[in-house]
Amino acid sequence: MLILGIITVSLSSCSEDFLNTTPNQILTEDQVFSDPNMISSVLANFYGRVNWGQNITDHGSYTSLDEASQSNSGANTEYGFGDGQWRVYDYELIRNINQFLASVRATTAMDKPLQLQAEGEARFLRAWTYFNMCKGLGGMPIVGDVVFEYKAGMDVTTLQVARSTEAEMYDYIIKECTEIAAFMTTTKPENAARATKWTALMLKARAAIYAASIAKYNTLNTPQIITEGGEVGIPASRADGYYAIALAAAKVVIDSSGYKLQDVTDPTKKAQSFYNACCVKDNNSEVIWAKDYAYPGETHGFSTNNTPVSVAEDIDRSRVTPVLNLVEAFEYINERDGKLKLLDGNGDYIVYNFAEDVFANKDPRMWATVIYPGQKFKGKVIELQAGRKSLVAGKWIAEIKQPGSIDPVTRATITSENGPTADNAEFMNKTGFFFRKFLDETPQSATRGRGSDMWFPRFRFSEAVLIAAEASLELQDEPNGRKYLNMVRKRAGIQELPTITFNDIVQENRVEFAFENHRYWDLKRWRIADKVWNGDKEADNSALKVLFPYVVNMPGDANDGKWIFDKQNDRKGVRERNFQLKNYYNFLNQSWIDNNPKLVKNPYQ
Amino acid sequence: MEKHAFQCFWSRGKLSLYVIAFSLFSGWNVFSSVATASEKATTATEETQQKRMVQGVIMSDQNEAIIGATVHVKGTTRGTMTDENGKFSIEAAMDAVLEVSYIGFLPQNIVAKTTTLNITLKEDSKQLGEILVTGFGLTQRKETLTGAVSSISSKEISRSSSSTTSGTLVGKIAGINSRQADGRPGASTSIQIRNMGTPLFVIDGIIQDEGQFNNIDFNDIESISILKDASAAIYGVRSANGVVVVNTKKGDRNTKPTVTLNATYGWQNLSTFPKPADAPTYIENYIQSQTIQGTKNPKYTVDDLAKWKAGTEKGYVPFDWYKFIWGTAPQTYVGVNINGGDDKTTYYVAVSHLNQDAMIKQYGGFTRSNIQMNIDSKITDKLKVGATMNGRIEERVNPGVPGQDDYWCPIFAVYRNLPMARPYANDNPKYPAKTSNNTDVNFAMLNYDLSGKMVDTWRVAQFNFNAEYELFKGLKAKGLFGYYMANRLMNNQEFTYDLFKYDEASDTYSYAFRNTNPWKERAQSLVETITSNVQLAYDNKFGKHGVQAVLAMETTTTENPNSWIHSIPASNALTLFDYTTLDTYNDNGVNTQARIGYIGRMNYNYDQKYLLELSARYDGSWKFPPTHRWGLFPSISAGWRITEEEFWKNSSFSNAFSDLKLRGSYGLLGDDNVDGYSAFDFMSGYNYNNGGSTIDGAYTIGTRPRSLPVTNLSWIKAKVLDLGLDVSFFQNRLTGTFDYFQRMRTGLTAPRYDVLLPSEVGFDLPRENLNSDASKGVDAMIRWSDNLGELHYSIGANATYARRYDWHQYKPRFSNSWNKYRNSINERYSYITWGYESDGQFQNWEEIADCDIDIDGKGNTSLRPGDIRYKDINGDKRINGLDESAIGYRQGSTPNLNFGFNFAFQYKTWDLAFDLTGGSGASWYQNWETRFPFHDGGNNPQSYMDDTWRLSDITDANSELIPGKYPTLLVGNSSHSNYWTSDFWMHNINYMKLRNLELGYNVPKNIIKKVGMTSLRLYFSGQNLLTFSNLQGTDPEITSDNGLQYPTTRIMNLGLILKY
Repeated sequence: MLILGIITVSLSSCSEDFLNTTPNQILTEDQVFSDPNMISSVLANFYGRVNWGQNITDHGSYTSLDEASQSNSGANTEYGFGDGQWRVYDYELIRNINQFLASVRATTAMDKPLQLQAEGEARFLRAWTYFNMCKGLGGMPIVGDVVFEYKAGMDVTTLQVARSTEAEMYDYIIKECTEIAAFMTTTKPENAARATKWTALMLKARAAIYAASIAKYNTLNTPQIITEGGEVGIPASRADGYYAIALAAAKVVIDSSGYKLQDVTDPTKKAQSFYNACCVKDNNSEVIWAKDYAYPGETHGFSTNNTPVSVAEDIDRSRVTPVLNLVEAFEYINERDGKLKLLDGNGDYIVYNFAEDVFANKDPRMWATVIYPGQKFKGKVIELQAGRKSLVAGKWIAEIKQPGSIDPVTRATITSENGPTADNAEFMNKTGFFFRKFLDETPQSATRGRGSDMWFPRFRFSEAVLIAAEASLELQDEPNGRKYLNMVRKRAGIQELPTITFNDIVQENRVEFAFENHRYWDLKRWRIADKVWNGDKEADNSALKVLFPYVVNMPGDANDGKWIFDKQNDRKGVRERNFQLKNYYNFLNQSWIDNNPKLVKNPYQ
Repeated sequence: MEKHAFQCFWSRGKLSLYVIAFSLFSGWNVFSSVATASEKATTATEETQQKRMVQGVIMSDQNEAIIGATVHVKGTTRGTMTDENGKFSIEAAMDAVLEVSYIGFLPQNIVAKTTTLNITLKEDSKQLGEILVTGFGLTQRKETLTGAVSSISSKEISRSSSSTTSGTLVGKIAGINSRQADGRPGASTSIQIRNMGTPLFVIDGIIQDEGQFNNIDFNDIESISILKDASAAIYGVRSANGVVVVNTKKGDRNTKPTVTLNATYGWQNLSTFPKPADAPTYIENYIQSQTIQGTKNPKYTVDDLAKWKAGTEKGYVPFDWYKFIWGTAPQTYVGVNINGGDDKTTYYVAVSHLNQDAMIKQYGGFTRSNIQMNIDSKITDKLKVGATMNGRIEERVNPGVPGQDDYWCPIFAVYRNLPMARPYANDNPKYPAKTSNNTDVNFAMLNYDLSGKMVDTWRVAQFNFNAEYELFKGLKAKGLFGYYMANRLMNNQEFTYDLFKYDEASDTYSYAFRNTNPWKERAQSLVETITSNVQLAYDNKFGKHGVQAVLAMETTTTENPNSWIHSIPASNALTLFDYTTLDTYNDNGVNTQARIGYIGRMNYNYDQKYLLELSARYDGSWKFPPTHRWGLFPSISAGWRITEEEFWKNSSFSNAFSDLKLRGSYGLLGDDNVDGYSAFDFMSGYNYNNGGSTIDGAYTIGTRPRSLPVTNLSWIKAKVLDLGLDVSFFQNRLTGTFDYFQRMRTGLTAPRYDVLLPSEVGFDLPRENLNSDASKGVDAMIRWSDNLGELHYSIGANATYARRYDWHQYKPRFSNSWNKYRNSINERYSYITWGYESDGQFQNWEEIADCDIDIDGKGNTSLRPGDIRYKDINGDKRINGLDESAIGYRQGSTPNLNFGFNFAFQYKTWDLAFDLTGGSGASWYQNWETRFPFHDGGNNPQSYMDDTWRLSDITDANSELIPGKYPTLLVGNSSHSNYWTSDFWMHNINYMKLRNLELGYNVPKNIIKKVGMTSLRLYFSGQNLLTFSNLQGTDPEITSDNGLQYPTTRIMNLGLILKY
């Protein structure tokens, strides 16, 4: 009894100790900010949290525009754009960065330059966060360096911050970038993965050109899209000022950053060179900031999910594939209209000896952007053949079999292993093309076990050039605008232009930055998204199109074994791209407004 | 075969026949009163009679001598015990009444008319259940129990062909809701007590996880008690979902060593699985779809169809994937145990081995080896010590299947491979072909040789030591110390593999696909739990006042370090990991848990008539903020045995009642498993290894600031009320238990959202204990047992109805009445499934033209006869989200109602027992392969494709339509209005299964004695032999909505039990 009592008492006195267990991975602020490695670790966390919009870790995001379509199983029936399309509203990140800033400014664990660089990177990422927020939502509350705290029972109205105007938001981003550019490093970081003076200037240029074009084109094209307090919409009077800022920032990058357009003189190597400029990290002189990946550690499944069927390395393949609309957007080297020549004047098929012949003389960047029928990937020809056709009594009859079927007698392909097919099969091409840009040729990069370490560029040097072109043109300096635009066209390997217009800027951005998260935002800031994606069920600008190659199967006929092509709408059930006026700005969640009555709604909400 | 409690008539030999007949025709009370009267008379005469020696032998009804049975002369202090031959002698008067009793057997009163007596005691399986373990190593007699505790004994448990323990409880006990969602080898049935959530498991006094419960050999279990109400409060902060208390078998005192061998061999096959459509059916439907959709470039033609129908021409021979993949598989069990003891020490030692192969051909399966050793010893009269040890090795083995779930691939293969595809190129078994766009589903490749091997092994050992010392009469000090260790090692290697195609002209095989994803992974985990439990127990009687009291303290700590590594081996032949190919190492930490509790319990009864129990536990959990760690969990229960009252005994109807008890309980239980809260959320700081990014050319692990500390949160509180009634009639021949219960839980967490914190502050309000839910229901058990000549029989029924409500929500608010109707969860059934209500199918084009409701959102332009019509609930002539209503119950979990019917018969050496079990009040949603036409280019069930609206001429879109159960199948049509969520596809399941059946033959003693055995039993047993369900072709218990899940198995066993 006594023993039992002693045991009980002694145990109960240390009950609390008994319950105080130690967590494995929770560190104190002191532990973190006394060690430069841990400070880097916090920055790494922030870098990992800023991947928004269209990007290669979300291949489905490519099906939202007019660049690609869902090839896996049934058709994507989405056609409009959601009220929260690519919306960014991450004040938790803003708060975390502000927490970090307060601590890193106080740390004694680093030398001053390193400390400033860390501060600069954090402020760059904060500006980038505001920028991504602003391009979807317009002006939102700017909280500065404040780290909000909460105690039960406190007056919460002291925490309420009203929305800034859209102009104030861009001004804030521009101001932050200007300040940090003054002290951030000019050294090129490994694989463009960290922010430098040049990324700050690129963000400044991009923010300014966005602000400028909204100021100009919102007034011109969609004057109704404003709010009373200016949370949405920028006065036209400010356009020129912003264009000038954009031009100036872009020029600094062009002239003094040391980055340059990657180019070769041999026209047959232009295509590969452009691919390298976008997709190859080594000796890259063009990518200023990218989301980098590394194996082992951090890889993604873009290659795994979208690799051509015939060179698949694992179960997954061909989930999303590019559409004909993008392919036709690329000009011919010497011809502005990039439409493929499929039918003659009578509406009869134009017959090609080889599948790739229909793509002859197209912009070399097209080769670097998509894999089209007959091209090689990983050293293997990627066949794309929907079936065979024969002309019987004046009517073309198609013969379609399971993918991978060959003629038992002639051993010629009937339907290639890659398709395309028009059914609802999984893992089968439905559009006639595959991605090339961002698709990794590294062995095993298309497996689930390894994945790809292909990077995703966020700022390329050519953007600085195209911003300079656009800003110059808008500032009535067509000759300089033309000079900059032709730099990009010359590098691409297509004809230079004698004069340029606004539409040339639109066109060049589309093909130069395909799959790089530009097009949606560009069409929005120019206020032409509702006109391009106007909901027409047939037109090339809004309805997704696919290309089905067939081989003529008419033994003895002159055309036997040659290629003809059907341009057709993407599968039944896919609806047209339809961008409405309300899509120019995301909606605010009702709950945000409930929580902060100072927030006003966006137009059409 | 069970034998039940009416031996008092049975032992009177021929009288029993008369009794049964009499009872059937006259009712019970008349005869019973006669019997009682005659006993009173004999007692009165004892002292006046002359005494003489009476000798006798006491045998069991299995004809075995009973050693140590007590014989007592009624009304005197004289008593004795039987010797090792079951013999006794005692001095007794003529016509004195001898009271004969032995544990595990029904007591008998014998009138000593002669001086030599042959007494046969009847074994009483129910008697064993009469002593109930009510948790914490405490026991109570059923009569004086005040809580809602159901119990099941070893005999009923072992009547099962399940591979895991939970499966044995199905349908046998009131208060259990069950569902076996997946039947793969080694899988267990999910059980919940009154649908309250996953219960706490306690084995031999030690808190254990569900895996340990399921994988001890259930033949080693003596009894299982289910604490359904406030009686669970003694487990404090983890008791809110009820407690399952398991006791393993102990050796019997004063018995010679008995060796028991138990062996079964069984055949498993599929209970139900939807068969895929055959080639002609598939192609017919496909051509019809092309015809209706006007496909310009058709994939199949009528010529193709004819060839596939004939099935003889090369290249047109269909293939049956179902047969190729599914088969019959063995399940075997061998167990040996030795049981014995003298008057000081008892022991029970058992070893067993279970082997359950997969019904998927050559696909490995589940094996488990168990040992159990229980020893108890009385060191002195006051000191008892004991030790329990059990251990097991359980192993799951199957081919190293690419992709995710290893059982999914072959099951999916049945549907994803079209019946036109054949598994081998040119039918040459050396060359698996590419049979589908999904390169992972050719079953010809899913085997050890081609795709590697996965071995998942658990090695588990539990050691318990206990001691008990009697300080003085009635007061004992007890200690229990438990150490549990479980080690998991999972090694999975998935090979690279090749698929081939064949070129006939050149007679060569070439690669159609080469997988280059060699995958090698290893998961390692150690679970270590240390439990200590000390208590003081007092048990005494003061006149009519019975008192029991316990004070105790319990501590448990658990650590679970675990890690996972992955590599890309250079070759399939390499079986070891090496550093150079390693690319991931996840160290998931130690995950320490600590809990401590102080317990007090007191029972009081007055003359076993008025019963009261008070208990409380003061419990602390490491999870919560230091200021919110400790909780007090009190409970009270009380009972009234009306049959013990004089007024009742004197009443005219009292003879019909053997026992009648009213009881009620109320208590506060806790649950520290709180949604939206993790241990240490009360701490601020930074989380290491959270996010990260590739910077400076290499991946850098991230560190993330933690969100606002949660300082004002604690466990969930459950207030549990139970009102119950225990009755037994007619000398216990008819027994019943009825309970009403409700559990109100408060403290479900939510943020206090009326504090309008601007979202721009960048953190969420910490959660607090704000919301509540409720469960209400009834459970009941009733059983009739009797004899009909030499036929003993018993028929029982039990049912549990339990339904969850979401109860008070923190300040609910709604913008309008529809929003409230659709989204409120305040005081409403939980887990409602919403969808459209179908209103039949359009029978012809005229009906579609006449329909003034926009059904499909496209002005009805996409509709055809056979398509589904929806009810326009709000009358706005359009079908949209506003027309949704409640169409189903909860999906994927245990049903609201479970029931079971138990039958047992014994006739001489033969016995038969079976259980019908079933459920109702759960929903299954027909989806994917069983719903979408030609889903993702794959197949649909034959029964589906056979029964659609179809064209009389599949090549003529305008031909006459033939009605069917389902809409016409059109390729790529899965977003059509037909396939919207509606009650057309939602099935509210009702089912009943012949869950267990056992037919046994006990070889007569005189035969087996010659070979030295004491008993031999041969039996046939089966599980899931029949299923009655409103779901056609799909197992009603599976939860996967495509129907493609490893269903519960149908097992037929041959078995024997042999004793030496």
